[in-house]
Order: sequence, then C-alpha cells, then structure tokens
Amino acid sequence: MTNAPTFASRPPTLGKDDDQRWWFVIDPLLILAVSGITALGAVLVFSATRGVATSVDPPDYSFLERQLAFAAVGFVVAVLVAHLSVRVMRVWLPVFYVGLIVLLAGLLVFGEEVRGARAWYSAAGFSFQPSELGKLVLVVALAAVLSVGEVNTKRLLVALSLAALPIVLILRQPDVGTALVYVVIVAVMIAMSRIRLRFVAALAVIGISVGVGIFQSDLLAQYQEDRLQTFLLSEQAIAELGADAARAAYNVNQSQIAIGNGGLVGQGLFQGTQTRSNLVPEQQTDFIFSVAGEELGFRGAGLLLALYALMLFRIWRIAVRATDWFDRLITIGVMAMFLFQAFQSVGMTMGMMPVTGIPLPFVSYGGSSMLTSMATLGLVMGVYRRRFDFAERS
Amino acid sequence: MLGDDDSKLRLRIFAFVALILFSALVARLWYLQGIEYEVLSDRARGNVLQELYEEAPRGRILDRNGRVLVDNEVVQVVTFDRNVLEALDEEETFGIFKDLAVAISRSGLPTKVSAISRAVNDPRYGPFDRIPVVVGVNSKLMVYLGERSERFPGVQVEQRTIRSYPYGSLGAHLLGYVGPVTKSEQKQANANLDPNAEDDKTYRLNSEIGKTGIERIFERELRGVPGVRWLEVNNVGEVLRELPGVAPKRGNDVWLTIDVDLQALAEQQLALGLERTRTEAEDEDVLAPAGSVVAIDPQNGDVLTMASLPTYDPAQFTTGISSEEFELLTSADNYSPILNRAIQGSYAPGSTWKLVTALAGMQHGVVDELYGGTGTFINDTGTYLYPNCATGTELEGSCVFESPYVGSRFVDLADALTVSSDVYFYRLAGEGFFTRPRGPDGDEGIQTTARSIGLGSATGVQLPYERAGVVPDRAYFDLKYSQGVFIRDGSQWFAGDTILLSIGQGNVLVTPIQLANTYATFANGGTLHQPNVASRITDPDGNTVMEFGPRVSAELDFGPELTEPITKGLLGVPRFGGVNGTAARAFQGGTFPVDQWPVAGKTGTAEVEGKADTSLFVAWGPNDFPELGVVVDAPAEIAVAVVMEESGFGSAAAAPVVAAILEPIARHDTPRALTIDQQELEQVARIESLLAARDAPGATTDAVNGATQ
Repeated sequence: MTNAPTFASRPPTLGKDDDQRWWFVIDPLLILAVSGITALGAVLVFSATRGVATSVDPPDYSFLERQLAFAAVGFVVAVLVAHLSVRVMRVWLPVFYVGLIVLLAGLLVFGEEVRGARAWYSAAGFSFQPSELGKLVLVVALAAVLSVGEVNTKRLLVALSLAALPIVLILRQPDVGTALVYVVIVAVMIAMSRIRLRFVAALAVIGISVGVGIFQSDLLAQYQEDRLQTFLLSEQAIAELGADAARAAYNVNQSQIAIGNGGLVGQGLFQGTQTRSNLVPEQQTDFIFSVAGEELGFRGAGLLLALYALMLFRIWRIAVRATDWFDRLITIGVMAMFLFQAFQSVGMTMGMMPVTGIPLPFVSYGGSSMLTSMATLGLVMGVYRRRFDFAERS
Repeated sequence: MLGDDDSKLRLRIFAFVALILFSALVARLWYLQGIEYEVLSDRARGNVLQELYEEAPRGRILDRNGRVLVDNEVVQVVTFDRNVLEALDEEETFGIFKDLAVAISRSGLPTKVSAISRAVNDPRYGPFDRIPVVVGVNSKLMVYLGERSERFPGVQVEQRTIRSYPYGSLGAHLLGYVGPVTKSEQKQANANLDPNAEDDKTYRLNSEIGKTGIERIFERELRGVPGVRWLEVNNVGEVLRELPGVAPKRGNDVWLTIDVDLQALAEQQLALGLERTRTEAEDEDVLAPAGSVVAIDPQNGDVLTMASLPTYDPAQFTTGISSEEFELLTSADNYSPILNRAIQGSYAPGSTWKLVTALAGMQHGVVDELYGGTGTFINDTGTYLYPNCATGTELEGSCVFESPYVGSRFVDLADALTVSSDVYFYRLAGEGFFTRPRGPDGDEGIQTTARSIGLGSATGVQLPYERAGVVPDRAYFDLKYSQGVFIRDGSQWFAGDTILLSIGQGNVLVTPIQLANTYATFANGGTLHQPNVASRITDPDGNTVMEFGPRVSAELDFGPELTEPITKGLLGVPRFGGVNGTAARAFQGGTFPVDQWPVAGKTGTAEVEGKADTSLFVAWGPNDFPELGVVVDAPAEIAVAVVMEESGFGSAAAAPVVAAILEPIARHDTPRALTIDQQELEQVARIESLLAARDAPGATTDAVNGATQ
C-alpha cells in the first residue's frame, strides 16, 4: 500500500491560478443535482407550509422565503468552504472541534427542549443546532486523523475517541437520529480508510454488540426504544406500547398513505389532501418526502431520488479521483452522511426505517440543516477544486 | 489515481451499497405508488373528506285533479355546529344555550334551554352536520342572530324543506305523516336498498321516513335522492374547501284517486253528523266520538274519499312532536285520533250485512229451498224461534231471536231488505243454512259468499296497516279456541252463531272500506276490485313513471236474477212507499232528489257490548229504478259507507251523513274545497265586505257583529 498521493496532472488549458477562481469549485453535474434538489425542496416546503390559501386567507410565504434565503446563504458558505485550503482547515480544526464539544456540552445546560430533546440553542428568534454543523467538524477531524497513513490501533483509537465524545453528548440530549448519522459517518470513513479488513470486521462486531447493548440498557429513553420497536411490530402490539409509539406509527401510516395517494403522477402541486390537511406531522421537515410523494407522484418523487443518486454519484466520483487521502476521506464522509440521511429520511416516510428525526438534506425546512448540508457540500467542492496538481499550493 | 486495488474495491463496494439502498427506496416507492395506489388513495380520501348528506325534498301528493294535498315548504331553521363546543367549557356552553333560548323565545317560539341542549346532543347527527335546534323561526330572529354571530358561535339560520299541508288536516289519515327514521326502520329500509345504485336513497340516522298512510306505502317513490357534499377537512377538523358534490333530487309525486272536494265534503258532513248525533241523542250512551267515511267508484275501485274522525294535524310532526302530544294522538281514552278508522276500524256490520246474507241465500239456493223464491212473503212477527232447539233444556232460551220490530208484517226478500227485517234472515240462516249439510258450500254458505266478495280479508288498498275483518266460521272458532281467546271451538258452532251472523252480529267484523267495496262490487254487477287510493306516480318533470289501473281481483258475475231482487229492496231503503225504507226520512224526507238520482243503500245498527250501537249506512248511486221508470245514463258513480261509533241507529245517525255527502254529487254542485290560505283570504274578504256594508248608509250593526263573532 503506497502512501504517495497520485496527482492528475493539470490540463494545459487551465491557467496557473485557475484553482483560485470561484467557479473552479463547480462540478456542473453535482451543482445541477444539488440545485435541482434544493429548488424542488423549496417548492415542497412551500406546499407543506403555505396553509389552506383561500381568497380570505392568503398563502403563507414565510417558510418559502426563509428556506430560499438559507439556500442562498448556504451556497455562498459552500463556495467559501470550498476555497479553504487544507492547511487552514487543519490549523483551525482543533478550535472547531473543541468549540463543538463545548457547544454540545452546553446544550445539556442551556439547550432549549424541543420535543423531548435539548438539541437547540435559541436566541433572538434564531435557533441553532450544533450537532448539525458538528457533522462538518467530525468529517474533517476524522479525515485528518485517518489520512495520516495506514490506520493502526493507535490511530483508530484516536479516531474513535474523537467521534465518541460528540456522539455521547448528542445521545445525552437525547437525539438518537443525529447520533446515528455520526456513527454511520465514522463507520464508513474508517472502512474506506487504509485500514486492514480484519479491523473493519472486528469493529463491525463490536459496533453491533454496542448497538444491541445500548438498546437493551437504559441508555435509550423508553419512547426511543418504542419507536424502534414500532417499526417492527404489529398494530396491536403498537397500541399496547402507548401513546408515543402509537403516534410514531400514526405518522408513518399517514405518510405512507400520502405517498401512495400520489400514484404515478401525483395529486398535483398544492393539491395533496394529506399535505393540505396536515395529516402527516413534521411534513415540512423530517417527513417532507411524503409531500413529494403525494403531490408529485412516482414521477416527481422518483426524479428527486434520481437527483440524489446523481449527486451521490458525483461525490463518489470526486472521492475516487481525489488527489490525497485527506480529500478522499472527507468526500467519503460527506457522501456517507448524505447517503444515510437521504435513505433514512426517505425510508422512514415509506415505512422502511424507524422514525428518527433526521432531515432530508437540501429539502427539509430548517436553517441548521440547510447550512450544514451546503457547508459539507462545500468540503466536497473543495476537494473537486484540488482535483489537479497545482503542486505548489496543495 | 489514489490508492491501490484494495481501496478501489472498497469504494466500489460502498457505491454498490449506495446503489442497493437507492434501489430499495425506488422499489418501495413503486410499491406504494404503483401497486398500493388504489388502497392508499382510498384511505387518503376517507382521511380528509367528510361526506355531508343533504336530504332531498319529498315528492308531493296530489288529488285526482292535480290539486296539491301535501307539499314542501322552505322554513328557517336555527342550526348549531357542535364543533364549536369543543373549545368551550360547560359554563360557556350553557351561556350560549341560554342566550339562544331567550332569543328564540322572544321571537315568538317559547324554547327551553334543556330543549336546545337535548337537540344539540342528539346522537343521530355526525360531527359535521348542522343540527337543527328550532324549526320554523321568523326572519327577524335570523337577522338578530346574524348580527350577533360573536355571541352565538356555531349558530346559523338555514333554510330547510319540511312537509306542508295546504288543506290542513284534510285527509290526514290517508296521507299519513313523516318523522325521523328509527333504528329498526333504518335497518329495514336500507336492507332493501342497493347502496351502489345511482339513485341511492340510503337512510342516515337523521333521515325522515313516511310513518303512515300514503307517506309510508309510497315511501320509496316519495323519498328523494339525497345530495352529497364533500368537505375537505384538516387534522383538527377545520373545513378547507368544498368539493363538487351531487345535488339532491326531489322525490316522485303520487297522484291519488281522492277528490279533494269530496274529501272535504265527507269530513265536514261526518263531523256535523257526529256533532248532531251527540247533541240530539236521547240515550246518554250515545257519545258519537268517532266515525269514518269511505267512498269508492264502483266502476274501477278508485277510492274517492277516505275520512276518519277524530283526526289530527300532520303538521304537528314536521317540527318534531313531543311525547305528550303523541300520547294524546294515540291514547284510547282520546279515541286514538291517529287511527285510520276507514281501514283500521273493525265493526260489527249489523244489518248492512244482510246484502251478504241475501246474496248467499240466492247463490246457494237457500231462498228457493226454504221460501220457494225471492218473491215469497214471510210473516215477520219481530221474533224468531229456532224450531230445532232441544226444548226443555237450558238452551231453550237461547233459541229465541228478537228484533227491534214488534208486530206482524209480510215481507219478501226485497221488502226484508227495505225494512230491515231480521226475522226473514234469521229463518234463512237457522232453518235454511244451518240445517244444510256441513261444509263451506252448505251450512257455511254465508261465509263463502262473504269471502268471495272480499270480506274477511284486507281489500289490498295501497295503505299500510289495513285490517282484515272477521268472517267467523268453525275454523275461526278453532283458531281462537287454540289461542285461548274463545271458550268454544269449531265443534261448538251452534245454530245461534249462524243466525246472528245473518244480521251481521256475533263475531263478524268489517272495516268501512270493506263495506264500501262490497257494495261497490255488488253495484257494478260483481267485479271485485282491490281499491286504489293512488292512480299514478310522476317524476319531478311530470312524466308518468308508474300507473295503477283498476285492479280486478275477481269477476263474480252475479247476473240480473241475483242483483234485481236485492237492488229493488235496497232502492226502497231511502224512500217512503208501500213499505217505508229505513233511511227514507234521511233521503226522501229531506231534500235528496231520490227520483232523479236513485240511491240504493242499507242501514245498519250494530250492537256493541257496553256501548251504544254502531250506526252504519252503505249506499251507492245513481241506479236505474225500473219500477219508477227512472233510467240513469251512467253506471253507479259512487258507493259510500259511513260508520259512526256509539251513535245509535243507522237510520238516524249514518244515513243522514250519507245523504248529505251524496246530495251535492247528485246535484253536481260539490262545493270547492279551499286551502287554509284561501279560507283565510275568504274570511278576510267576508269581514271586509261586511265592514263596508256597515259603513254604507242604512246598514245594521247586528249583521257585522254576527259575522265577526
């Protein structure tokens, strides 16, 4: 296994400083996919939040406006992140990491409890979810540790420790869904790093044991266990589990009805009865895919999935073509994050996955989620920027 | 490129995993949207669409000339939306109810808070129904409530269609009334309906249904097709929008054979007759509380008139009837005004039965066997002693049959009918029928004839709850004995039973419509009809969808040798002559044109245990009167039966009523029946003209006072 990065040589058509130009970070197909997803997402958010919209009661544009603003700001952030040099990232990483830990720890004291979890800081009308932006920090931190060379036990332990700290804090909020995203990111990044397969196998065994252990222990709140069980149980068994489990089952049930109601071509934008009637809870955030399913049908929802597939494929391609291990692992981490979130969020609305509060990247309404998604995209765009050998700056 | 084969492989595996995950998503998406679409979209519709049923106006009921007897009217209804209560506590709710009760009461409809709260909590209504609280409020209240919608949340004044009766209580029994459907009615009615039919008339919990009379028997036609409105509601029950629905479709109209003018005349004359009987009766048993009139066109079985007293106002039911009010309508102490005596009253027919006995006597040859022919005169001493009685036994006394007549007279069959000789028929039954060989055509010949002419079974008129009457025989005794009602079984059918039956006493029972139909059948020469009260059904556009022609159930074909002697006798009943008819005073003694419009009829005075006699008279006209040389161009146009309870002699109470009903028909000047509105207008016009007359010079004030009192 060689440690030497392989650089694709700079095409002669590129100028010497072209990698510093803002457009150089743009992978057209990737940005096309993300723009499509974001635009579609904004429309879905609008549909989910506009209200009944009658002549006396005009549609509510506030969510749409905010979502578009988040997306615009997010894209600027993405471009900015993309232009961060690896050196700057490495230098500031410890600061961000410590900042993240402090913010996560602070949540346990100062966090505002929303639906049973202290995941948010609220001030002056804005709220901020550290665990969202934390994904960015985690990806960079793990990439930094795992890219140094062959992953031996010591590095593995360092990486695991760096990951474990925020995960435990997030579990304390408790926000199992986000913690799960972290775990997936860590798992995929380790598996894709220069690590021996038997380590991966051992880790998998340990990981599964810990997972089962957590489920069996009291670490999870009862409702979280119930929700996971809901996914596996019959309706009658769910009813016996109590109100929260029943509610979770209800959400998934209504969401599946909404999606099924879409059929091939959908009920038409703003015409979904489930959507209009707010029958699917959290339809503008975690359950937003149900809106796509109901109003746009198999064609529209399928298009959305296709755009995600295109986006993930372009990210994967960037990972494959990355010029060093730091870049590749960053890209893989981001891809793992997007892949898992998309699968979990979409799968949950269709009853394939248990109910956990995970936003659909670029689509679910929310500033923290949009900014995080855009910023992590920015990391990938940065890797894309470094796709050629501008040796003097790498 | 970065990395060796191993890391490339891992990246490819990762990509492969991603691909699998996405394929799973697409597969699941296809499963939900492509395969399960029907099921899930159905559930989605059920989730958010609230069906609201809008009852359609019922069809109208018209008389034979198209005059509307039952219509629909639009009234203002205060309705309440239960949903608003969810946000209110008990005290606030009570406050609204109280204010509402005060407002409605002030508008002129005294209303209790408890009544409102009971109405609002009526479980028959669904969460999105607007529940009617008070029906028939005025527009002032509508404005008042509309201006104070803040104070009366959920309260609205809406228009609804209810039944209206232009002629008031006229024909109430025949028309019937409508009311809220009961659980069992709903179940039964819906069981007969096809819920997938285009004109699905499925009954909801708050639907109305015809309860009696025409409203009930033609329920399927009269009931309109309810409209449906679909409301899209959200998860908290707010209405988001209304989707295009289906408009309600009015029910079909029912055309009756009834003539409203004749109906009004009959009810009026029956009421007058009962009133007169009450005031003029010397016997204090004579209470004359109730009676009925049925008139049938003998040529086709059309029921021209059907009246029953005491009556009720069907409008009582349109706005909801209280249990106290309903109790008054059904209580026997109050003579059950709800009862349609014309088809549900069972009476001993008394001498009106002699038509049957005479007919039987001739049909079975008993008159010839016993008397040697219809023209043979028999000595009627007023008392009949049945000769085969075992003398010297206890039974001896029961072998003496008396009659109101005292003296000695010689009567043939016709005269026996004219003067209503009991002895003639006693003997025909005792020495004639009862001594014949046993069997339906032998000693039970009277019963056979009675059944053949439609007695002892319901006539089949298109009305619910018709009674069948009773033609007693041994089998009937057996039946009643086995039920523990009678102390004798069929083997103990004695001569007395046949003898009493011959004059319509004993266990025999008929309904007024049976009497009228029997005489109508005789009058037309033997065509037994199932009487019709409805002639046809038309849809809202006026197209006939169903027609009920004359329904002939038997052709008895009596022939002149049977009808002539009997008709001769019955034609004498309303006349003075060689023998005075029992109804001569009522007809010829009055103003009735018996010579121009000959009437054949029969009085009846039936004994009822513990009460005054039932007074009956049945007649038809006009009829040729060969002895007088009167030939009427047309066949008999009407047969009418009048039965008055606890009213004494048929000749005194019922016969004058029949005369009063038939006289305008004979003179072709039946007064035009007026609707309630027309009556009021006429009243106003009369007073105005009297006032004008008073103001005119030379008028006396007495006339005005007299009229306005």
